[in-house]
Amino acid sequence: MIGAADFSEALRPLLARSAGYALTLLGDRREAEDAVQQAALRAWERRAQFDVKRSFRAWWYAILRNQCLDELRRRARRPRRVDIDEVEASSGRSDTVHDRLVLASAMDRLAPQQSEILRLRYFGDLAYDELAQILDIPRGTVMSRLHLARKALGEAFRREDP
Amino acid sequence: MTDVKPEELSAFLDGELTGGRAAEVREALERQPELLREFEALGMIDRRLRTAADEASFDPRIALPSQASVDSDNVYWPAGIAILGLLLLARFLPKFTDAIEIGLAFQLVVGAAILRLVMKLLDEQEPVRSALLSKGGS
Repeated sequence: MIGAADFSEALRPLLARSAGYALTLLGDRREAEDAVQQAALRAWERRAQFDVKRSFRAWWYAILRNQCLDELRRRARRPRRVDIDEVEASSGRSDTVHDRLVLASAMDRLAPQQSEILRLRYFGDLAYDELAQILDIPRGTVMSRLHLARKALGEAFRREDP
Repeated sequence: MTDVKPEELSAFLDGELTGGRAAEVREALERQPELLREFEALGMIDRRLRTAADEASFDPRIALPSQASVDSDNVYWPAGIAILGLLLLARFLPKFTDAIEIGLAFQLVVGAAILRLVMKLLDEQEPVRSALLSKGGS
């Protein structure tokens, strides 16, 4: 169980990275914000279930990840309208855009398990023990999966941006 | 020569190896150019991902749930019951007295109490409403 004040104090510093993580999964800033908002409400409702001996960050990212996956499943069932203006407005400098596109394309080439662990590691800034907790796998598996994911991404980079 | 497993290179990069093992890997990197090349390639991917993660981060405009919302939820039931009780009193108590002035005075007091309860309810709602309107969660 986590108290109301502790909940806000623990969650607030994680919000910016969380939004970035949701953005890489959903590809849309507004949807990423909605996902973070919904996950925050979900976490608030379930805060009695939180075990204070475990990592709050891992617990929070497990909820946010599920929220994003739910959204992706919902999206698969309905047609999606992409607002071109918004994409252009949020895209920034062209070299950054190029890098982002290369990365996005390279990530798409990876196995889902590999892209997932890389997103959680980098965009969620999670440690190995936290990754093991979220993905429900042993720490050794985290180590090898992350290594293979990096190798595969390096290979994908070479193909995307030789 | 220290035998370093490939995944240990990643763990070393992430600072996830124990002190003793990390020292062994560091030593192996100094002596094995091939291993060093592999480590540098991993480092390049690591930097690229870190940059991408930093650039993707942004402050979401959300309202964090707070104790105020719980308090205002909890106040609904007792306040509702109190209002109902006062209304019933206002309706039936004047029947027990013949003096119309006493009945009117009592109804006035009950009306004021209800108004005060409603104002209190609105006040309790204010923090949640402000948070939602401003959406300044971060």
